[in-house]
Amino acid sequence: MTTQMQTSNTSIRPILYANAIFSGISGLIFTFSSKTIAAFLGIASSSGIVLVLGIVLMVFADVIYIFAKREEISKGFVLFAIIADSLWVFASILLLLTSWVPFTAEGKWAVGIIAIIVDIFAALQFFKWQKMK
Amino acid sequence: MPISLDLVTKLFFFSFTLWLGAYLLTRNISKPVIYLTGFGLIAYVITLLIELLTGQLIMLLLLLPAILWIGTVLHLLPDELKQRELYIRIWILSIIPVIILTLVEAWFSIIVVLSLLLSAGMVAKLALRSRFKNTLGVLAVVVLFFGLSTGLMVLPFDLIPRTLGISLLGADIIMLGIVITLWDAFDEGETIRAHLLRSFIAAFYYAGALAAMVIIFIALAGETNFSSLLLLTCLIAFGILTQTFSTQIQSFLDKLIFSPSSKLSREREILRAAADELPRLSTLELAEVDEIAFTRLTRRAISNLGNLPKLAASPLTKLSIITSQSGDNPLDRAHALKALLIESIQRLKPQNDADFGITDEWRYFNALYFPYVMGLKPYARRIDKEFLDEETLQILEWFQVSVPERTLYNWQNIAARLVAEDLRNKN
Repeated sequence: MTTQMQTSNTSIRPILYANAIFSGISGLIFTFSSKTIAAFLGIASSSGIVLVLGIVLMVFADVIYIFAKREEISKGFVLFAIIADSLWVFASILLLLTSWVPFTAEGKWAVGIIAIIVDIFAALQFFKWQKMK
Repeated sequence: MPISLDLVTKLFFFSFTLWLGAYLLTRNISKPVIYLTGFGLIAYVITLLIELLTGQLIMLLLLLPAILWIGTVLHLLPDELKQRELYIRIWILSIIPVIILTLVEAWFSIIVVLSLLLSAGMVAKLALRSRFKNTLGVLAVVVLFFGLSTGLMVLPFDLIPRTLGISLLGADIIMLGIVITLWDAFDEGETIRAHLLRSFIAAFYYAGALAAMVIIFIALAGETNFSSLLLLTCLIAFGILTQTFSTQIQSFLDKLIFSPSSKLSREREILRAAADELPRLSTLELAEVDEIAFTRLTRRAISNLGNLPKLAASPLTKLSIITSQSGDNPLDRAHALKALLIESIQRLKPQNDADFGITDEWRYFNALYFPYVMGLKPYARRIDKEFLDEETLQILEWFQVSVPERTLYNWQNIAARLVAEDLRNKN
């Protein structure tokens, strides 16, 4: 049983680290280039939202990193990461599906690609979470 | 807008697909092939409802039945196929990325269309090796047509009028639903015609009676508007769903009125479920069944050992050893079959005093006795260990540590073959 727990923990750790790095880098870019990013996406007048999103992403990356570093990774925490990633994906799909935000063509691609990467993290974490005891 | 042929066509597909989807979901929601097909039908219904009420066709929703269908085909692949799990995983992983890519650029939906065409090929290949050659052969052709009509609707071609496209897609989806229902009935060793027809007539009689009132009102008013269409579709959906899920609704009402753990509630539940299952009892003569089919029926019956109503619909209740002892009452026959199966499973136990062992000679007994007779679920995510004794915990640990799920599945199949042989000898 202990061996199984360790296997689950060690195999999920790199995924969580990758998630933290991706979220951290995205957060940094969103925070320090919020105006450029907002213009690129087609929401130049709402650069404040991009800035807030960047800060939230950095906090999220920090939390993921701190928990992933622990010797025992709890199942509940992995579930939290899955839910957070899924919410991001769901929100991206909703924004792409509706015309609430007037994205540029490049902006649409950026939102789509980021959502796909986040979805892959969520799915990989989910597969590992299923195996955790 | 008066009642037009276009509206009647859409209402027909709306009602028929809703009924078929709901019927499939009530059949066996734990079987992926069934629930994926059922939800595919429901996704089409939702697309059609939005189109009917708002005039907007949401391509993403139109793509959902196709995506779910690819999953259905992958779950149809034999369990023995090593790549099956891998294919299913890839399918699960790629659903959201494909949806996102399609939202960014409609041409990406070609991935789904090509995968559907590939699925048609897969089903055709499967048909060559399967026991259900004809059913799967028809299924391959229908999947091919489904792939083509999905392509015509979701790819930005504008080759056919929207109403025609919706009708073509609806016809293909209905055909797929019917073929899968037939396949499932064959697979479970059940007969389907009476049960399907009864459900159809009950649902459409009730829904039709409700819808007729609104249709008369619309005819008198001379035109349809959003409110009258909403009322009409809601009443049709209410009529169909309440009839198709009537057993589940009655169980829910029983739980509300009687105590859920009361004997009365449990007995009513068993009688209701048995009455619902009985029209599915196969007319096939056991004497004409070959060895492979008999083993398959035995395997199904063992899987349903804890489900008396399901056992009542098993063709094995027609074994002469059972009919000679239990008479005409279906529940008595189900009890007799259960006892017979347990007796045969116990014969697999090695001849010694121990209740449990881990040597090779115990594997077939362990594989059937503990999961089906004792009701242990070794791989369940939530096991309340507080109420289990020391020996049960030991058994659970042995399954979890030493027996991978696939190995257990293989052992169960071999053990079921031995039980089937024993039943045939007794008969």
